[in-house]
Amino acid sequence: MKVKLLLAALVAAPAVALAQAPNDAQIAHIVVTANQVDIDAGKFAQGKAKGKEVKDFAKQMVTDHTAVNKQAVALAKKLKVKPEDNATSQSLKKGGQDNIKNLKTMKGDAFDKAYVDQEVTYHQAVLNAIDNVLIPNAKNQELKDLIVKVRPAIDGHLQHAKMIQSKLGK
Amino acid sequence: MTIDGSAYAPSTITVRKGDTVTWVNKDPFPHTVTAAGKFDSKSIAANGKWSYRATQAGDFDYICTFHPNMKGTLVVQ
Repeated sequence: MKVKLLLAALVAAPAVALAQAPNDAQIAHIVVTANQVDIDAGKFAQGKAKGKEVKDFAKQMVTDHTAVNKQAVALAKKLKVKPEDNATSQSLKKGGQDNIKNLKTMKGDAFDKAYVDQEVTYHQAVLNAIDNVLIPNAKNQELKDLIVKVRPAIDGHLQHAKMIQSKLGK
Repeated sequence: MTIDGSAYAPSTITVRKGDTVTWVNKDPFPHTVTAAGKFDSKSIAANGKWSYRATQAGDFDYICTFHPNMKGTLVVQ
């Protein structure tokens, strides 16, 4: 499983490295897409998860990422930035759809484990994107500040998912 | 005490026994203030707050159970 996870992380990493230097309109689109992908996964998982902790985590993902997206959309509006679709957004979206497709084939404990594994990989990939692509390239200070401010929550989700993952592994 | 940007500020606070401490959540999503077996705010909503009366002396490390990378310490003298 460890090997599989590592592979998944490696596969996810180039996807976010595709956009060499996204502009602010593209960054705004990536932020909104990244949140939406995890909202969709969370909505799907909260209905199908078996364990309470996994179900609660899925609900939390929907709540947190919905709140962040509201802020991001409001900021884009305020800055008069029209989010612009791009390769990174498309690969995030495709990855999210593939993940849900994979989850649809599972149930019970296997479902819980697969969802949590995906969440660990996903949040790690998003953190990498924040550090290596989004923060270094964001030109507008308010946009940059929003991403910097959200980063600890993403890291929190990663730690939370890892904690549940280690319990499920037992 | 504030919770903002998924961090407790200040991260360590010292109070006297009997004092009441209030955490205000300025983030747009919920957090908790949880010292396992000692105190637990449960979910503090966005823009919500939670108060705790410190009745026991000691150093209490707490976390947010939703974002376990968030850490704070309450020192009660």
